Amino acid sequence: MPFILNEDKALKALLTGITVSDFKSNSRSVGVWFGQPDVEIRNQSYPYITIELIDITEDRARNNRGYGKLNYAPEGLDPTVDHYSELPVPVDLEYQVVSYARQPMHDRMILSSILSKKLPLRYGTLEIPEDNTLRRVELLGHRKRDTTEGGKKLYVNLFSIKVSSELFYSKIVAAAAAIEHVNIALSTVTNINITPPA
Amino acid sequence: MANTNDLREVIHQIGDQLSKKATANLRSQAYDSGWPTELSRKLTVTHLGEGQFKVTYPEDLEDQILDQEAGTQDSPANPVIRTFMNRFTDSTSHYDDMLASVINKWQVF
Repeated sequence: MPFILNEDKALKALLTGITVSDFKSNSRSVGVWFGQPDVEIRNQSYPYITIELIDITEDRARNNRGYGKLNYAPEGLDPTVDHYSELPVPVDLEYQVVSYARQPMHDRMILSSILSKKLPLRYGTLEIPEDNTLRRVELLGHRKRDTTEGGKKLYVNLFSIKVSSELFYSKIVAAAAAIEHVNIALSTVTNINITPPA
Repeated sequence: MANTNDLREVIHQIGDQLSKKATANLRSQAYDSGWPTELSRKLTVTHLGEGQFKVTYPEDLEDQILDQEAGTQDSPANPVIRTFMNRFTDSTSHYDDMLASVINKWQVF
């Protein structure tokens, strides 16, 4: 999949798998959605998490110009050979991750899981299997936004995160393979006398 | 040759000028993005000093502003403050340029 879709998919995969428990249920998995699910669905599926892409910016601090060897094989290219191209443009994808829970215990469990494992304050990474890269994930901030909906308490956590990515604008060329064998066909050589023009 | 007080004053003025321009841009961006006028016009880019800027708004409007910025269960996020500030760091180089020209002109060092 191309740029952004890979990051979306990986982020969803990263956030999937959080479970919460309470006196009614030993283990309840926390759903992950892109944007808000329909009212009918979300009423049955608390707690849940939403992901929204909110900004794409060029990361000038990582910017380089020139032609060079790439550190990885972009998606769809042979990872066993080196690739060369105009250096890619570094970009940051900013996402908003929001968790919703009806019970305070669920809210704390989600908060704990996200901050300790999924989106840590230090050394956060996002694995993109399509190009076999580990992307930097920075937690920019967390905000509590608890509210009341229909007379019921709703526990809300808002996380802003930044995922590093790169965009290629020029053709990517695979390195020429080293020559291993040279086959030479020998044949009889005939001498021809050529008279140069006067 | 300028003294320290003169320099402080000019730093303050440069920051204020830039924050006024930025406030106008932020408000127009919020309005263009569909934020209600009563919220857009209350956003301000404040100069905290030494080239640091922050978006501020009245406390009583915080919930409404965050509902616009981050969305709610019934409305999607419409991020204006974060997208504005992401790009504003580029324009603060203007602050550095202005400051550098004053320092050169006044032969501070």
